Formats: sequence, structure tokens, C-alpha cells
Amino acid sequence: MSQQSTALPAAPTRPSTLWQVLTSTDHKSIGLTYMGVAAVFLVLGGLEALVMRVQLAVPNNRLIAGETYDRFLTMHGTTMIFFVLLPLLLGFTNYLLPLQIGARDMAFPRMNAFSLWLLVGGGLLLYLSPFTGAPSQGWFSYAPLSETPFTPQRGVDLWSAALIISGYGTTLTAVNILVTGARLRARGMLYKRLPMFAWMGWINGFIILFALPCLTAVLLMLEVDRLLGAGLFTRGDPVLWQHYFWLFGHPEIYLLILPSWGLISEIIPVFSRKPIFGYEFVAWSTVAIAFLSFAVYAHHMFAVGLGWPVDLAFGTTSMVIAIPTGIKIFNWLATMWKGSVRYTLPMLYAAAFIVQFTFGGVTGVTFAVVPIDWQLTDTYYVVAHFHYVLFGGSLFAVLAGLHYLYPKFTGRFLDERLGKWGFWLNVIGFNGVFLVQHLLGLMGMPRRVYTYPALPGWGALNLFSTVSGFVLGVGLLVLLVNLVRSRTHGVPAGRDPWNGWTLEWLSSSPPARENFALLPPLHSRRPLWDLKHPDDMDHVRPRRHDKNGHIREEERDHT
Amino acid sequence: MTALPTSNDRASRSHLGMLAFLASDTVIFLLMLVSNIYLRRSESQNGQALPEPGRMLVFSVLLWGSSGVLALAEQQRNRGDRLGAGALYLVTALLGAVFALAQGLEWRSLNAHGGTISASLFFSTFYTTTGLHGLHVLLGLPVLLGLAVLSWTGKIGRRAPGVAAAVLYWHFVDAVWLVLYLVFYVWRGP
Amino acid sequence: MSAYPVFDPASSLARPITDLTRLTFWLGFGVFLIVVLVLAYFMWRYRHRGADGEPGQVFGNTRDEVSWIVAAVLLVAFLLFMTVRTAAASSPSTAGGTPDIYVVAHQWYWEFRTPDGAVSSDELHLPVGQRVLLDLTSTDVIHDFSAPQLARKIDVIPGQHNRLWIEAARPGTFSGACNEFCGPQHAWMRFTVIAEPPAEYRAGQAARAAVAAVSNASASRGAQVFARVQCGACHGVRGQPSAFPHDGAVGPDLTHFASRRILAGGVLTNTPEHVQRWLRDTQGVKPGARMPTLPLSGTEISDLTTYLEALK
Repeated sequence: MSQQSTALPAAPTRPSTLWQVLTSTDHKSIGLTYMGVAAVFLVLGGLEALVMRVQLAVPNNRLIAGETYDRFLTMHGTTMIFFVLLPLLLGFTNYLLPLQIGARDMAFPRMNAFSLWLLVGGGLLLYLSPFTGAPSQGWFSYAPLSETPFTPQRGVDLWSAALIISGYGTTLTAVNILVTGARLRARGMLYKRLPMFAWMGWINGFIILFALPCLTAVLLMLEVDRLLGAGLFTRGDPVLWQHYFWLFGHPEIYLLILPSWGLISEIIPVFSRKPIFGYEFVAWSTVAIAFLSFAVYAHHMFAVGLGWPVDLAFGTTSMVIAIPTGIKIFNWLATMWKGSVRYTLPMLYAAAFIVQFTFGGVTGVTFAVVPIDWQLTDTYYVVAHFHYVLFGGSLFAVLAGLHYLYPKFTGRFLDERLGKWGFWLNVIGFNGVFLVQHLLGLMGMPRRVYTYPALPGWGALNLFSTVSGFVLGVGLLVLLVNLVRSRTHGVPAGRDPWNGWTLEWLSSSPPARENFALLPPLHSRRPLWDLKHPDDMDHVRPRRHDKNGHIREEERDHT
Repeated sequence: MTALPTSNDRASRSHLGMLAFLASDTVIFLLMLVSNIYLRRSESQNGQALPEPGRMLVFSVLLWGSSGVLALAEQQRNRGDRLGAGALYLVTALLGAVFALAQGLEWRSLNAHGGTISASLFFSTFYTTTGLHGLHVLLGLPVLLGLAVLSWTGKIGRRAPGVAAAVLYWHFVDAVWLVLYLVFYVWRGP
Repeated sequence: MSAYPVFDPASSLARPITDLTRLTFWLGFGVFLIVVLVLAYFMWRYRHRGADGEPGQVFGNTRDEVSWIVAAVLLVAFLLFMTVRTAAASSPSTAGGTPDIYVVAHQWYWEFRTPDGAVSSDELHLPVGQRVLLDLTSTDVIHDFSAPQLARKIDVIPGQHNRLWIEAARPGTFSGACNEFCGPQHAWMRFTVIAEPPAEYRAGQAARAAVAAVSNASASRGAQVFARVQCGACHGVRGQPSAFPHDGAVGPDLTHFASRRILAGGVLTNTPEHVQRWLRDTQGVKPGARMPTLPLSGTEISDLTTYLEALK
């Protein structure tokens, strides 16, 4: 079957009117809308960060002090986690999952749209909060600081409402993802043949399903305290807040990176021209992480004084979870081994991801060593750590994915030159901001402070971090400009610009409404490789590879 | 070639979706219950004896009975009896409404006797949890009424994949009440 | 005070953590370096050089996978073993025994009380070479006591009491700070730990336990201002008559104010000029502080300052 006949002709499937965007139930439109929404909140959250960095640029600064600074701090954290990174990842999952499994759409298209608007509604509610006094208790909202006597403003209640509402959107999306992956796979698309992004996105659905309700529960309890005078965390136990919050909060950060790992697991193979090394290990390590993510949560509470047995238990699980994470890194590297690496923008971002994510992962392991946590928790060392994994890690993977899938979304490539500028500005800017913050933490600078004394080195390092923040801002701006401009000025891309191997590259760019007219037979993890190499299909000639996974000597001529 | 639709309602997409959603919902109830069990012990006079198991048992049985009625309704639907099934959906809704009303009166009575939401940690978590449950009951009522109407107008027959999801929801609501009743009304510990 | 407190331990409790931190950092850096070097090497060595066709398609190698999993497990096991050893050394059991010093955290200052009746704020005195047991609680929100050169940190929770062993192995002045976000002035909830050889410590402790004595005339004018403005409603000065039943319960105890080195959680050092500034524009210096900016005249401010600086 020739490749042309399996694809529907490229039809303008992206809705052109605002009304179409607002009412679309097409997973592709919804996916792109999520990303657009995330971009708006990225600008807001980024400006909040820059304001904070300007305040911190010099010691004893009074530009944005005390309560006001804490409002920026709370809005920044909440925005970036719930209204930037999460919608970006849900957007990618929405767009790509049905394509990769050979489906027409998600299982529940109308609920999909509803979920999107729940998230947007939550975001709008959050940004109404400044009118009633923006929340200032931090995105993690520890009790009793978050209770009425200490943080009375209505903004806190709007903040809770925003997260409960958008949380339901996210939960319903998880339901959609899980049923889509379970029921809508095309014939022959067995679970064990799912592309890595589809698998990780699907497993992510389980994490969301069990983590988000913990947030909903604990926010309800906070509001019962605030609005109805109960004393759950005041007369009761303030530490209960932390248990419930982190039972949500730790799986949350894994849920903020699984789809990113999925993107990296697609990009590295395509641009190394080899299949992902150790598919089963990468797949099962993801499942292990999903389970373990609920078992490590109290590593955020090592300084609370829960007692050594509890600290040791969670320290152990936190170290153990590093193992399946490390497995992925080794497999990504091994994928490049003896490959034919192309230095495309997605691959450059993927390389930056590996460096930055590994660095963040290593500092994470230092925290799993409980006594080290007893010194470094709540300092800028933590701030550096989580920005390395969430920004240098997850967001950079998203940027890789954007450059990779933009041709599929729009039928055009992103501009190479703007892309390279953006890449280097982002790498230099990001590392400039956050690398020095490890040192600040080691010097004893606490986090969540609006200013600091003029101790040796604190001012200089903070200033460096601030200036780098502007470099990073420019880099992200260049990226945004590229995203907008290339829609009209980009070099046209065909159906399969990267010579890929998974089903999304079979559809047109952008795909038609129902994605596929016909699908080829699905016998392996790389249906398009099989199409393009009919004499060397993955599943045929099983003796092509010896039991160590290497190609047999006598088969080498058939490359 | 996308996946072929399965003929068994219970294996339908909407049923599976509802199962997933309810798994998520279970976690919320679980955390609420754990907080009640954990916090009730910290106050000696928490008013835990105030909710009377006897009075609430009557209405609880009605709610649990409504699950039975709903099962009968499903049986009738599978037999093609549109009118009968519709009537039984309606009865289920009525029983649920009676329970919701009784819950409201119970709250009023407890409040009058000093068991307000801020009276003790037992009551704070009691109202939060039963309130959440009550919300689930209230949300289920229009769905059941809708099923009755759809059944009478012939819109849902033997094959109606979405109905199994709604039915699962209602059984879940009743099952949760069993646990809540036992924890709040029956168990007097710790 | 050192630039990197975590690498400059001054305590037998902090030293084991420093050693473990160094070891873990080297191991971690080693892992990171391996990953970066392998990445760089692979990306360069296996770069596309224009050849046609695809490279050999390798799907995996179980033996390699197992070997690097085993390596990771061994590394983790080693770190866990070191964790247990270091935890025992740096955070010994606090069960049993009576606390030596009671630490009470407030928004936004620290209060240190000893059984002999001494109360100080923002300054903790310790005898050199002796392990001291702290009992910590909060009057409002969760704070955290962190003096990294001397001990691990521990949260300070309202309604609960945590305990912490602390020790200074050498005399000196050490820095501490609140390490749990506690509201708008979390930044200025710093404290100082002053470690003195046992003899000096005992003498200083006796002085701190004694009540305030105000001798000179101009200071007594200031004492009158203190009474008139009702500072005693929040601030205790032991030995001075007070009309307020719960004096000292809200704000820092001022009995030996003049001996302290920092003001208001570290936002200013304790000099007469800074005291005047604090009294003149409290909210400007520390916005959100629980102390309001009082409507004081210039004379009242200078009299009060004299009085406070006489409270040695």
C-alpha cells in the first residue's frame, strides 16, 4: 500500500474563527487551545517572576516588600504549575495521543472541551483574585498561615476555588485519556506497541486520577475552616495539611514531567535514527515511578519532626525512585549510541533537557539523603533544584516537542535562525538564573524571602540571577515570535518532515478532522518503519537481532 | 480502522470512564474519613454521640433500597419494558430525594442541639463529608429523572451504553453512604 | 560568620552532615559528569555525516540494562547506609530529659527562655562544648529553627513541641534564620547564636536572669514615656512595674535590650540611631510587623531610645 493513499489530503482543520475555537470538540483544536492558554499564562507568570527577581537583585531592597512580594510569589507558583506546565502537557497529550494510537478523537470529545474550559475558568478565577486581595500564602498554602487569622483576604478563597474547578477539568481529562488509551487503540495497536509518548501520557492519566482528588479534598477542608469556622488545621493538626497536600503535590510533579519524558522518548530516536533503546525498561520504569510517586511524598516534610522511622522510610523510597528515573536517562543515551544524530532544534533542546534534567535529578537525590535535607531544605538550593527539573527539564522538553510537532500542527517548519537564537538565549538565560541559586542556598539564603542582608556574595549572585532572568525572558519572547510568525512565513512541511516511524506522521500536516482515512497493518512499535522498510520490518525475521539486541553479522548488509 | 464498539454495556467507554471518575472520587471520601477518624480523638468532648443511628437508619435503608429499585429498573430495561423501567427510575429518584431531605433535617436538628460545624473537629469533618455525599445525591437526582423521561420516550432501549455509567454512579453514592453511616453513626471509637 | 555555613560546621552535630554532603556532592557530580560526557561524546561521534540509509537498528540489551540498574542500586544502598549513620550522629534522640532552653517562635521574632527566668529575643546564648536540648513551639504559624553551623533544622509548630539538640564546639557568633515561610516578614526573622566558654556563659546567663535596673535620670524620663505610651501592653521589661497583665506576651522581651546586637529579626543592627529609626517609622522599616508605627514626638523617641539603650 503506497504511503500517499493512506492519508487524507491536507485539509485546513484548524478552526479559523474564535467561535470555532470556543466550541470545538476536536482533540487537535483543544490541544492547541490548551497550548495557547498556557502561552498567555506563561507571559503573566514570567512577568511575576521578573518582578520578584528585580526585587531580589540587590540586598535590603524595598521595591516590592513583604505582603506584596508574597502575592507575586503565590501567583507565580500557582500560575506556572497549574496554568502553564499542566495545560501544555495536557495539550500535547490531547493532540498526540489519538494520532499515535490510530484513533479519530479522544473517547469523550465534548467532555474534552468541557475540561478545557474548566481549566480556563479556573485560570480566570485566579486572576480575578487580585481584585479582592491576591493570595499571599504561597502556592503550597501551609496551614495555619493560610487560615483567616493570618491571611484574611478573599483572594485565598478565589485561589482555592480556581484550583478546585481547574482540578476537576484535569481529572476529567485524565478519565478521557485513560478510556481513550484503553478503548480507542486501532486494531493491532497493542499496549506493548504503544509509542513511548502515548504510553507515558496514558500512565500519567492514572497519576492524575489519584493525585488531584487529594488536592480537592484538602482545599475543601481549608475552605471549611476559612468560610465556616471549623478548626481542622488550627484546633486540629496543621501538619495534616502537609500530609494531604504533598500526597497530591509529589505525584503532581511527576505528572508534570511524564508527557515530557514521552516527547524526549520520541525525539531522540527519530533524530538518532534508531529505535528507543530498552523499550520495555523505559515503559516499566514509568509504571514504577507512577506507583512510587505516591510513596515518597513526606520527603517534603523531613524538617517537620515526624520522627526518624518515618523520615527513613520516605528517604528510602525517595532514593529508590531515582533508579527508574536513571534508567530512562541511560536508555536515552544508549539510543544515540551508534546512531546517526541530526542536530535539529528538537534534538538540541532534547540534549539541553538531558543535561539540565540530570543536574536537577542529582540535586534531588541529594535531598533524599535525609540529613542533607535537614540543612538545605527551604533554602534557595530547593528553588534551584525544582526549576532545574521542571523548567530545565519538563519545559525544555516541551520546547523540544514544540519544534518537533509544529510542522504537524501547522504544516510549516519553525524558523531555523530564530529557533537557534531562542535556543541559546533560553539555555544561557535559564542556567544563568538558576545555577547560582544552588550556591545561594548553600550560603544559607532562605527561600520565599522578599529581601536578604548584605552578606558576602549574596548580592552579586542575586544580581547575576536577575540579569539572566531578562536574557531568559528575551529567549522565550523570541520563541513566541517564532511560533506566531512561522504560521504564515514558515517553510512548508509535508506529512512526514522528520522521516518518523509512528502513526502521527501518516496523517497530513495538519491532520484532517478524522485524522486518518486508512491505517496500515499494525504489527510492531514502528508501523511507518515497517512501511518504509518492507524487507526489514521490526517484527519479521525475529532472528535479525541476537539475544543481546545486536544485529546479527549476517544481517548487517541489509541496513 | 478504529476499535470496534463492544456489545456489552458494562464494558462500554462511558462505563469505564465513570469507573475511573469514581476511583478518583473515592480518594476524596477516603481522605475526609481519615481526617475525621484522626481528628476526632484529639478532643474529649466532641459531641460524637449526638448523631443518632436509629433515626438515620430508616432513611439510610431507603437510600440503599433505591439501589435495589435501580437494579430492577435495569432489569426491566433489558427486557424492553420502557414504561416499567421509567417508573422504577422515577422511584429511585424519589427515594434519593427523601434521603436528601432527611439529611437536611438531620443537619438542622444537630445544629439545634449544638452540633454545629465549628463545634468540634468531629462535626467539622462530619458536615464536610456528609455534605459532599449529599451533593453527590443531589447531582444524581436529575440524572435519574432524565433516565425516566428518556425511557418513557423510547430513547434508551436495551443498548444504551451511557445508562450503565449513570447506574454505576448511583450505586457508588449508596455504597459510600454505607461507609459514612458506619463511621459517623455507628462507630463510637476511638 | 562563614560564607557557606553548611561547609563550615562548628558543632559535632553539624560536622557529620557536612562530611556526608561533601561525599554525596562528589558522587552526584560524578554521575552528572558521566552523563554529560557520554552525551557530548555520542552526539559528536555518532553525528550524521551524510551517509545514506539508516544505521543498524538496535532495540536494547538486557545485560547492559541490568548492569546499570545494579550499579544504581549499589549507589543508592551506599547512600542509605551513610544516611542512617549520619542521622544518628547529627540528630540524636531527644526523648526523655528536660529541655535546657525553651524556644518560642512568633511572627516575626524568636524568644528564648531559660528555666532561671531569663528571656531574650533574637539572640541565643550557648556554652561552648556542651550539647543543649531545645524545646520549640510557636504561638502562631509554622516557623523553622535553622542554625546550620550548629545543628540540623527543625520546624516549629503551633500547638506542638519539637525538640532539638544543638551544640557549639567553638566560641563565636553564628547565624540563624527562620526557614519556613511564615508570612510577609519571614525574611527578617533572623537570629544570632553567641557561644561562649562556660565561665563567660554562666556569668552572662546570671546577668540575663537578673532584672532590669535603670539608674540615670534621662533614662527614667524614657521609662515614663514607655509607661505613658503603654509599650508594656506588648513588651515585658522584668523588674519594671507594669500595668498590663500579659506583658511581654505579644512582643519581644526588652529586659536586656541594650545587650543585643540586632533589632527586629535582623532588619537593623542595635545602635541608638537605628532604634530611633525603628521608633520613628516601624512599618517603613519592617512592613507588616505586628508593632504599629506609634505617633511619637521627636523628644519621646530620643527619650525612649535612651531608656532602651540603658537596659543592659
